[in-house]
Amino acid sequence: MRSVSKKVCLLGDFAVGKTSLLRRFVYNRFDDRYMSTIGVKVSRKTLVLPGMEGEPVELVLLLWDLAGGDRFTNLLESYLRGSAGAILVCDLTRPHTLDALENYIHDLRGASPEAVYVLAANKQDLVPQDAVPQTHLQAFTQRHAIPYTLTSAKTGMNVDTLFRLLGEQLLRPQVMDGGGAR
Amino acid sequence: MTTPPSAGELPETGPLTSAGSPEREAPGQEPSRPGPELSHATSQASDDGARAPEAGQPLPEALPPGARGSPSPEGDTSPGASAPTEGLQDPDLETLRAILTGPEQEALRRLAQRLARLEAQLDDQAALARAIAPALGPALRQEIRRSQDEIVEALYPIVGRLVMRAVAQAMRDLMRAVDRRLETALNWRTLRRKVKAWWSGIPESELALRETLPGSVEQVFLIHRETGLVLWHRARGPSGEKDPDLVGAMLTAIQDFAAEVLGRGDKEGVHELATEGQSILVEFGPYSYVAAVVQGMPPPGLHRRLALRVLDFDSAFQDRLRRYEGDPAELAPAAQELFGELLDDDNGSP
Repeated sequence: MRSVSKKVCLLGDFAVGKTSLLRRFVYNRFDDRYMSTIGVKVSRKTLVLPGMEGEPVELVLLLWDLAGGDRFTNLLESYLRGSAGAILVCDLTRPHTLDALENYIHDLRGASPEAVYVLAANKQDLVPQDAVPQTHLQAFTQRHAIPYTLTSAKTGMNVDTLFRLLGEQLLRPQVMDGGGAR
Repeated sequence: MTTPPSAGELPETGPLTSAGSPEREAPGQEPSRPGPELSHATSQASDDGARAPEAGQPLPEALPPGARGSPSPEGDTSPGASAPTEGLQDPDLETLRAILTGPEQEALRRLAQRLARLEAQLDDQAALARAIAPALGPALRQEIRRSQDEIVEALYPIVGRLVMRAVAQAMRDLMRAVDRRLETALNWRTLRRKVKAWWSGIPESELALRETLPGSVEQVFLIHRETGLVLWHRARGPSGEKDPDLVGAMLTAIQDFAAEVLGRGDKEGVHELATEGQSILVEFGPYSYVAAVVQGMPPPGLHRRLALRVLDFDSAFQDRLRRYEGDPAELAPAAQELFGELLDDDNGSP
């Protein structure tokens, strides 16, 4: 089986649940202390997905979990360089964390113009279904042409779907549509 | 010859003569007391610490000749000789004296005060130092500028000895620090070796011998610089690294961190990471970098070999490396050919 590795970054404000999402399903080897020391910790998630001609492909995602907040802002560009994709994470209980993703998208486009993105609207378990600000979310994802899913790191809801969604984006033939997907 | 008047007969305030002036003293006679005005002036000077004019010395030149006593050449001090003053009353004399000698008396008083201060300064070393300090700096600077060669020549033996002494002291301190470190390291190493020998059953002497030999390359990572993805990896034994992709990514993150923190952008990274008994030697090409994990002392020349090989690899595959899509299979054979022998060599040495 063909194996392909990709660098993927997790982006989002402090405490939106990036690390919790990773803890749910990925292979962690390194201690979380790396996050507070150098502002990043790498984990791995391996998926088997159909390739361009239907053949199975082993997709190894090297997931760079970047520390949120201002402390490592200067390092962000270095860490984003070479990313094939990104998981943007916002907290549904804090709408401003969705708006904050604009800056991360801007930085990612600067460092890796061909990167693809998916959006994880996290902490869905804390928000009643009918209270999810769908309009705002849809407007954002349409504006940036990003596929999104509601997730809950706590219950595990849609976490696997999230990575699969990203994997499909990464293995898709390279067609630039100007919206971040290639 | 006239009889000199007795002391009691002398006027209380004689005609403007110095105290004890020989002009007024007859041989064998007690010096007469000074006149009140002069006494006043000298006593003031004495109060200020100045010396009063000594007996037998002439009055200051400031006194007008006419104001001096004018004894007859024969030393005549008879009442007739002092006739011009007889008619003057004391207040008048005082006034006349003040008019005639006032400025001079004041100048004398100031001179005496100044002299007293200077003498006091000369006696007091601290005061002397304070007094000459303001002038000393500029004078030294000027003199150094004026005669540099002479000053260097003069100071060389002193400064040379000082420098030699300081260097010798620094070397002694350094040697002591090295000794302390060696002592600690040797103790710890010895202890570790004993435990290792006990655990493995290998004689301690053999382990000690092994430690003196150059180290061996245990693993080699070839890593894509931009993505941190591992292009190729090999380990010497079956117990080699199980997660090379994670290690490669974290090593790249550490390199990024170091480059950013050290302010060198993406041109330079960390060339060596060392832990107890192990080290990671790193060399960079434009698109990839190689990291060799070494057990023990890194073999001589390993850095150079790594650098040359990674440059060869990058130049051979620069197009593919520039657009690397994450499939390592296409580059693996070439990487194995270039870097595999590092693991095959005993001790990784050339």
